[in-house]
Amino acid sequence: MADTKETLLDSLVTLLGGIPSVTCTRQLKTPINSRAAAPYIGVLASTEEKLVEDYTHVRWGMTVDLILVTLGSGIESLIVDVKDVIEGGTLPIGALQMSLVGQEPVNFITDDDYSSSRIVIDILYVAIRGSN
Amino acid sequence: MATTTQTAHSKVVAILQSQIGTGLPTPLATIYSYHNVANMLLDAITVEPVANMPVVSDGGFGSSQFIDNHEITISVRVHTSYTGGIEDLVSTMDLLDRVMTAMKTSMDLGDRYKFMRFAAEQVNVTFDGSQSVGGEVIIIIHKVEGYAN
Repeated sequence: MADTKETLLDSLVTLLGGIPSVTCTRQLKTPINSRAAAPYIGVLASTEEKLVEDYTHVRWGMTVDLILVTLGSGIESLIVDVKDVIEGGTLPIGALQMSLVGQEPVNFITDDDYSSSRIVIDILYVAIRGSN
Repeated sequence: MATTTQTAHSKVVAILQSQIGTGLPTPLATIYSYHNVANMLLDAITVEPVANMPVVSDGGFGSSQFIDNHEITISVRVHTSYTGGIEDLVSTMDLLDRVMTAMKTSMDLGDRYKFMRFAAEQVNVTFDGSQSVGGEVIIIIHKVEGYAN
């Protein structure tokens, strides 16, 4: 049986990869490769917490970091696109709720003209007990 | 054989089943027979027994003692958002109103089970066990057993 968490994160990658011209991956690319793939989004699952457990299912709360990299000031429109997906998009398989919980200040224009930002989202998802 | 608690519990669940699909602005998705449901769809109602106490009422001079042999307390919760989500007070109030109306129009639950009263109502409650937000109403049901003599 497919792992619910992995299925969900794969769905999220597909969802974010639907933003025009964006490359989205589960395993964060190196700084050089992420810039080469810009506009780029790396999806990182950071923490998980068991919220509710009953006889059959477990509801998990998962924090996911989205690392955004673009060329120049394009970062702002990419942030807006990502927020639109998180707040208004179709929920990935297994997810009950996605919500934006934080965004780090944009790291504007580094020496090589690339910008980056990190968006933190919470996802509630349900898995059958024992399958995560 | 089901206990009085189980019977009263299932009777309340059965009455509230008629409310599935109703509700404004978002319809009631489903009803669960316990509060802390992991795979909870919203909006939801959960029903769980709280207590079952023996009760003896004095029928007055010249009449028999009346034994309401069981006073069953049942908690009905409406859940309209998960913790951390947008709290929907309008849906909460609407569903609570529907629960109370459904109970008031079904005073006789059959098999000598009677809906007696509401003990408490509260809205905008965060339920830690189910990690959800909504409202709660406590329902008191009596199972009338008969006369003492």
